[in-house]
Amino acid sequence: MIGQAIADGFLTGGILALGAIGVSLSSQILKFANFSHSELLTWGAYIALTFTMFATAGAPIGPLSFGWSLLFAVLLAGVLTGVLAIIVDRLVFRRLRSRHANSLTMVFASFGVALILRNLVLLIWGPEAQYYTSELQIATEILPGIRLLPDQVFVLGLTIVLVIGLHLILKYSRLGMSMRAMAESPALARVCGVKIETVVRWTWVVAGMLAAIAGIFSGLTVQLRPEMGFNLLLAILTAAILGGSGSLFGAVIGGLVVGLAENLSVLVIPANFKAAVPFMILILVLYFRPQGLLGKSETK
Amino acid sequence: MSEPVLIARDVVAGYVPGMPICHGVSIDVRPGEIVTIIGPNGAGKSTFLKALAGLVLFESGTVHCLGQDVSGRPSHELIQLGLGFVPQTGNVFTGLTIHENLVMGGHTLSAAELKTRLARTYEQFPLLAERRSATGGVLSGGQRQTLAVARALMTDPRVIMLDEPTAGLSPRVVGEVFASLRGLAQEGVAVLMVEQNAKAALRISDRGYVLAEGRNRMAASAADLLVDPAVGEAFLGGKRHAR
Repeated sequence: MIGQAIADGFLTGGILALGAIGVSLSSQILKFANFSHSELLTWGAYIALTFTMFATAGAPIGPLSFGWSLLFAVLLAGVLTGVLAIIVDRLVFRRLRSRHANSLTMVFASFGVALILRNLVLLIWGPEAQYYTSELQIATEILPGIRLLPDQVFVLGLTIVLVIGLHLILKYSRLGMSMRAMAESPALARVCGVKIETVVRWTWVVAGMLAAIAGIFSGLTVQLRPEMGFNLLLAILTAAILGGSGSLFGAVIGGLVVGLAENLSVLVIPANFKAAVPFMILILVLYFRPQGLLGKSETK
Repeated sequence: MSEPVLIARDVVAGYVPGMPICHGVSIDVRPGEIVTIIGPNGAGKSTFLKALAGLVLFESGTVHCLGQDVSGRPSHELIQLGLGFVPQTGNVFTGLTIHENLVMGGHTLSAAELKTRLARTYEQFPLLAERRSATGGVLSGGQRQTLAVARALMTDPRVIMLDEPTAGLSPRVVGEVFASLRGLAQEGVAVLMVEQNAKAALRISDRGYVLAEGRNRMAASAADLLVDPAVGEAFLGGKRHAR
């Protein structure tokens, strides 16, 4: 029972981590908490759904429930969601930045953007639950007492690959270094010759792509609903804050902690209260360690 | 006398539109010259340097650097024109390693140029070479200042501006920083700095400007400023300490 909850927690945590990395990046580089980030998850998931509806599904790959079309859909949705994030930035956030809007104004603007994006999904794709595939899968026992679907193993594996890939980009590429530099000191980064708007654009692309993939993973392992991103918002923000804003591995750890806590909580409290667990974690983190697990304290 | 490489005329700049801190500041800096701006707190010295570096709101006036009009141009363009800037605080990336800080300093260079400049910088600053994997946050004040200057020199600037380069440093390290600035000037680099440690800064400078309330109050050779009773009284710790 505990083993299964831990395995489910890692799965949920992996999806949350991808979302939290995007939130963490944008909060450090763009200097505000983007409450519309979760809607990018929803858009990414639905863009992929649209592609799979029009593409030939093909035979499922091995034990997975989906064919190559969904893998191409992941790529396409990642790119298009990145583009969507840039469009939103151009229409809303960049205009506010140019007027030197403070971070609170940006946060409220992101609430508005979230509402618009969520309702557009409702308008375009409808309120019903949708699925990428109707294939049935049988969970296999991967360890004693732990059963996982092949799709779930795929999601976990790809999440690990993405986190490692992103770490390598942030650590070794010039773009990644510029992003880290700008997260720490935009003024010094500018003095070094970094074009701020270029870094901002790439931040949106990376955050949008990760959000899309998290949305697709969520849709693949649960289902697609217009409010799927909104339902993950609190858990994602908690994961980002818990990890320490701006820390890639912090966001991953934060996602895993929230995912594990959610899934382990059902062993001791009714499942109806599972959604309250991120709230409790958030309160505890803000009270005892507001800088997060891997964040640096700003007090001297 | 050679032509100035940095000419600022009537610069009006600040942080909020319509509420400037600098109300028309003018300066010139020639190649190989060290020019120091002194003045009381709130005189607009740092804001003026930031305005030249493209970091604050540039409202009016003109700035020419190496013959080009760079008035109000953004920072990332200025560095490509040969202007380096070392801010007073937060002048290194504390979360990045020394090596990464230097790579950031050479952000505008090609990969081949970056490699060459890194090798040269490590040769010039052996301390940085030894600790290249250490993060900027673990360095002492003097080491940070060395890294900040080395970072700014990665692009071989013809003009380098420093905002209080000796703030918070021990007297021994202050001497080392000023010696390295003198060395830069001897190589032909134009050095413009703002310093609270006015007397020590003027001793290694060629000329100086006194700013007060965002305006030019005085401009003279550093030697003249050091013996000027009014300057001595206001900024150099009294008449008897002027020399």
